[in-house]
Amino acid sequence: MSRTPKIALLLLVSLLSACGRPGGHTTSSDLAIAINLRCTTCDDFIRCTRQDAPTNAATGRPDNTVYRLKEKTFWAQIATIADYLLQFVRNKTMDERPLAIYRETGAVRTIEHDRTWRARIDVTAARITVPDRSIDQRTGAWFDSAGQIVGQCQALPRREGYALVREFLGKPALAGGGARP
Amino acid sequence: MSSALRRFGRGSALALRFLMALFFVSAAANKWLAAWIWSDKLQRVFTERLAEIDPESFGARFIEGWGIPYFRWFALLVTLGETAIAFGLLAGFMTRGAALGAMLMMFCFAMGGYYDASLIALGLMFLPLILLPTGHTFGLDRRLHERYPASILFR
Repeated sequence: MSRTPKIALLLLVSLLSACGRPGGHTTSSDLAIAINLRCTTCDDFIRCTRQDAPTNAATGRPDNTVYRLKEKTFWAQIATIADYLLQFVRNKTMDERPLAIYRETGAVRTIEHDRTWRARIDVTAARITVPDRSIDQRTGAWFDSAGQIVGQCQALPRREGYALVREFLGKPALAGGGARP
Repeated sequence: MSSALRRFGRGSALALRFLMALFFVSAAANKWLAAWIWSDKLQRVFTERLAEIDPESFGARFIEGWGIPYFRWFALLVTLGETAIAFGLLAGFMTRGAALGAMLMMFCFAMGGYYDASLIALGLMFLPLILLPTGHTFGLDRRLHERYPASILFR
C-alpha cells in the first residue's frame, strides 16, 4: 500500500469517527450546581453552609465556606487542545480546576489557597471533590470525607462571587458589581 | 541539509497540516451537526458566554453589541469559514491562505470573548503552514502552481 491511500484511509476514519455520539451523563440543566467543563477561563463560586451554622449578626448570613473554582492555568488551557481534537472519540467527563476557599466564621474571614489544591469535577457522578469535602451537583448536598451530609451548597452568580472576593480583600464594591477583583 | 533531515521536516510539516485539518474538520462538523446556520444555536452560545466572562471586557461588549444582534451572520461566517479552511488544509488547496484564514479566525475568537491560552498555541501552529509550501505535497497546490505559476494562491 503506497502512502497516499494510507493517509486517505486515516483521514476517512477520522471523519467517520465524527459520526459517533458522545456518551450520556446528567445534563447541566438537571444540576443544582452546573459547571461548564469546556470553559477554561471561568471562575465559579459555590457557597456551602453547615446544617448547624450559627447566623452571623454582622452579615446576617450563617457562617459559610465559598469554594472558588478558578480559571485554568496557562498550560492547562493549552492542554485543552487535545480535549477538543478528541471530543468525538473521548467525551470529556472529568476536569480539574485550581481552588481557593473563602471562609466566614463569625467576624473572622479567611482566604485559603494552595497552588496544589484542585477541585475535581466528575460529570458522570455529578460530584465536585475539594480537599476533605465533596458536593453533589444534583442536590447541592455537602459531604464530609466520611460521606456524611454536613450541609448544603448553592452556586453563586459570578457577579456576586466577585463582589464577595472584593469584600474579603477589603476592597470597595464596584458600581456594576461585575468586574473581576 | 541532509536529505533525511529534509524528509523529516517535510513529514512533520505535513503531519501538522493534517492535524490542523482534522481540527477544522471537527470544528466544522460540530457547526453543521448543530445546525448553526439554520438555528439560534449561536445566539444561545453567545448568551451563555456572556454570563461567563467579565461584563466590562471588550469580548462582553462585542457579544452584546454585535454578536447577539447579528448572530445569524456570524453563524454563517464561522460555519462556512471553518468548512473552507478544513477543505483547504485537507486537500492542500490554497493551503497557505487557508492557514492564514485559520490564524485570523483564532485571533477573532480571542477578541470576541473566547480568549484562552490554547488559542495562542493554535494560532502559532498555523505559522509553519503559512511559511512552508505544505500544499505541494499530497495537495492540489502543486498542480495548480504548475498551471498558474504567477498566482500567489497556490505557492
